[in-house]
Amino acid sequence: MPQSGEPNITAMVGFVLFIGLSLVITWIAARRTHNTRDFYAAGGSVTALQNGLALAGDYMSAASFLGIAGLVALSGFDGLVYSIGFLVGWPVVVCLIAEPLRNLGRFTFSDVVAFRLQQAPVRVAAAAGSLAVVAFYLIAQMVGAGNLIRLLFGLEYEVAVVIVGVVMLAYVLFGGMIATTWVQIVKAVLLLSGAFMLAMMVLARFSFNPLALFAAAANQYGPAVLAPGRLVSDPVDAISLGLALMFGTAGLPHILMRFYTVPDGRTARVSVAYATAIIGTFYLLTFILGFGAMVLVGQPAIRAVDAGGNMAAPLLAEVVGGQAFLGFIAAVAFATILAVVAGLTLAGAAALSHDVWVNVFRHGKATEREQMIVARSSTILLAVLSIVLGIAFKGQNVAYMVGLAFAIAASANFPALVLSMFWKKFTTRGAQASILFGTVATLLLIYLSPTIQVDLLHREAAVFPYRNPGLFTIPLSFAIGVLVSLMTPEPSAVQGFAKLEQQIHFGEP
Amino acid sequence: MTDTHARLARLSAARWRLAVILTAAMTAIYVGFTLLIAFNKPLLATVLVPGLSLGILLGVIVIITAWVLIMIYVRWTNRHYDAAVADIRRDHLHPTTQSPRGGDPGLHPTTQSPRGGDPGLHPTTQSPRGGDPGREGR
Repeated sequence: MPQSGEPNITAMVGFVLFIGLSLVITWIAARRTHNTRDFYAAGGSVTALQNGLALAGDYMSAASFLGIAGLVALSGFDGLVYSIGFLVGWPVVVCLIAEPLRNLGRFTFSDVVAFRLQQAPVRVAAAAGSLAVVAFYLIAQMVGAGNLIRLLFGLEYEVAVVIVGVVMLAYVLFGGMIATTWVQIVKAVLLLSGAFMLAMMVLARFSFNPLALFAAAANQYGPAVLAPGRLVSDPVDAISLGLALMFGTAGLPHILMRFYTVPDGRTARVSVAYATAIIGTFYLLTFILGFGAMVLVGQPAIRAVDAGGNMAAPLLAEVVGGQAFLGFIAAVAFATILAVVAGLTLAGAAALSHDVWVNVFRHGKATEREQMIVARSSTILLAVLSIVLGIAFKGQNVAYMVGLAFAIAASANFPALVLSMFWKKFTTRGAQASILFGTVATLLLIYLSPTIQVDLLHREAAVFPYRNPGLFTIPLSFAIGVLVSLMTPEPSAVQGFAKLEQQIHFGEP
Repeated sequence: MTDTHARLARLSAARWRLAVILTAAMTAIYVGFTLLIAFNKPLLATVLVPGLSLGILLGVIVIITAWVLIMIYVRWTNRHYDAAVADIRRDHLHPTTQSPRGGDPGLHPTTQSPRGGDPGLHPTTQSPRGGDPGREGR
């Protein structure tokens, strides 16, 4: 294994092959991208299985592949707690969100919230919520990307961040959603087959019995690795994190945007079933990889390369499959990072251009040509911003940022989305209040939490005792949406509800 | 078209009920699992057979439950909900003709309203089923 990064020939070849393949995809996609609907929603022609793979691709970030495998390798059972948290949000997505979203909107979830409310004020708020989620998620991915690529390929951190930013920009700028979707599909297939091969190579040493592997781990490191450890210590924090992961999934702009790429509600719904099957299988495999690394690589060796355990899966690949397989897994990890960053950037660009520019500044009256120019300018802006932020946050511990993104998604986007689709008396002011409260309260509570106050600023104590605000901000955001709506009745919103309900079921007129 | 309205409302309520039940079930199971982890670590540490603790078993069960809940929803909607929507939609668009495209007469309710009523609910440019040209305009 690279002692913090010697270049590996297979990894380099795999890396160059993936970039080459994805640029070919981008080139083909660019020729098929004629209007905004192609750019944001792949023309609405993605099939259920394709979208299932793409959703899984968007969701399985490098954090879940390398991070969870590392967590399991270093602390055993506790890693499983995280995997489960990331999976249980999907029943919520399919039951409450996927179909109505598909039938009511075009490109962004703001389309749905603003459906029967006043366009401009609602869209400004919803775009702010989206951009906050995208920004924190993006920073976390970029910083992770810089570190990982340095470890995997021995490139400088800054060089790695710039490469990720530029290649991702090429996908999104020229190929829009068509390229982003296909890059996600290729990545999901690569990641799943990589994890599957690795898990099989591990299990081959334990006569294909996972329990034999777990038993070996318990023998070597004590039975505690099969039991809950220190990760979940405070019940309030644990539930708060759990709720944010669960409802945050249903408020992530880049995930929600995927439902516009399919032709109808039924396809949207079935695609979630595929996505969940893939993601669940992947997490179960990751669990085997984590224990495999714990036993076959050993905790000291994993810690020696990276204290956080992020290199557990690549190290395991080297032990069971040699340099060549290590290279393959490293290339897969790189593909994973690129694809997730592309999806996020596209979602951010849609919020900036479709919501803010077209529907607020131009009141929905912009030509296709103008919309495409603004969409592409926003993409460039976001790519530059992500490179700058990635470099600015170098060396910072940004592990909390994904949690923060999920907490904002659950507290700002999810309540407004649900209320706008299912509650007749929801109003423009109610939507604004709910979204802005969810965003600001989450940011404020995270700032006042031990994560920032104690860990980063080294203060004695934190004003807010919990690290995860979801348990408080999600219900409060719902309550504020309801209260403010009741105080500011909006007859036109009530009248529009019949049309909304009909369109939820019938699809677009 | 009060008929369309009432039937849609009933169908909507049925789907909403199922969606809320499934969401609540998932939340309860997941929060329950988290509470067990927080309050009864020794119980979850119980080793059932070598290599398998109760915690790992329950964790895998939670993942499988998520799959099962999604399957329940997708099966119900694919089998019943979609057919019911198609039915209401057909009657809504062609209130005077019985089953113009000959689709699925078995599902056709007998209480069909022959009047055109409620023009407000009746989009004039509606294209039958899945027509997409109107999309760009909204």
